[in-house]
Amino acid sequence: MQQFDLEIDERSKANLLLAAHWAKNIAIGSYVIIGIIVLGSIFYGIKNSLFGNHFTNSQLGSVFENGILSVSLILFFAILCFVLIVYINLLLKFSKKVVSGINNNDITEITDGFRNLKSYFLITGILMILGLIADIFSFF
Amino acid sequence: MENYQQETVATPEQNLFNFGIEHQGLEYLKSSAKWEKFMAIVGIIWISIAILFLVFGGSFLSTFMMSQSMRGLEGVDGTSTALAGGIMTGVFIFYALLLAVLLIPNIYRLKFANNCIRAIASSDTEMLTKSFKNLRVYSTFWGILTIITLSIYAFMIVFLLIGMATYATV
Repeated sequence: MQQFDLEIDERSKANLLLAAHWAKNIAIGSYVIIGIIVLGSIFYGIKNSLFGNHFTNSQLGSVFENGILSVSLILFFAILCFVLIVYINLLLKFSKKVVSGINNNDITEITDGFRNLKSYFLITGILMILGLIADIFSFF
Repeated sequence: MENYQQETVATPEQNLFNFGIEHQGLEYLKSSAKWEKFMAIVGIIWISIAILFLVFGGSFLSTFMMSQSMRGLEGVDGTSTALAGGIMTGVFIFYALLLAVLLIPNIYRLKFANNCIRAIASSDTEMLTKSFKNLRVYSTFWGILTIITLSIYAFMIVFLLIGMATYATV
């Protein structure tokens, strides 16, 4: 027989359901915000490439450097977006798993939801540590 | 009688309304709570330092500007400097209040973490319920903040489109 250490009562279920509901809203909202930022950046990039950055012959060398810089920036931006999407997906998975686990009385799904929540907080914590390090270095 | 009691008292896995979290789930929850505790403490310290900087730095800057305006230095417009000092104080107070609001979710995440760790250590269902309640409030706060941010973005996009349309027609 499976041994359970802690019980989820009705109030816990209601609280978990609401937390999951808001987590889903946060995840979807975050996706929309990322989408807006990406679209804005693409729009800004197209605008700059069409109407800005006119180089003279003497600046041809810097065109190549600017090209590498642009590609690096785009690559960095793409990796950042990918990481953010994976990160937010963990929150969405937590929400989906917990809701379906509670509705179907399936503890395995709830456990899976908690695993996603743990990974989400882990990444948030690591990002926070990186932010702190960046903040400390910005003082010097 | 004994048989009757055995039949009516349901074990967690038999009960349709209440069910238990198995060991693995508790490990995940404990790990989440530990990270949350760390982030809450760092967040509270971070925000408090930022508020202190804003309050002291802001008051120093605005007092300096006011004193400059009172001295009536040559080439310096006293009224405009005093006005700028006043506006700057207002901006600093606004940012300090904004940061103070951000303290609220950190307090709830700390409560969630502390209650969760205690609930797991002492196998206390009541404490676990309390911790989930704090998680709910924390999620609600960020959910509402996300909706507000999205609304601001929507307004910005609408104003940008109006501005572009006006610029194109002129």
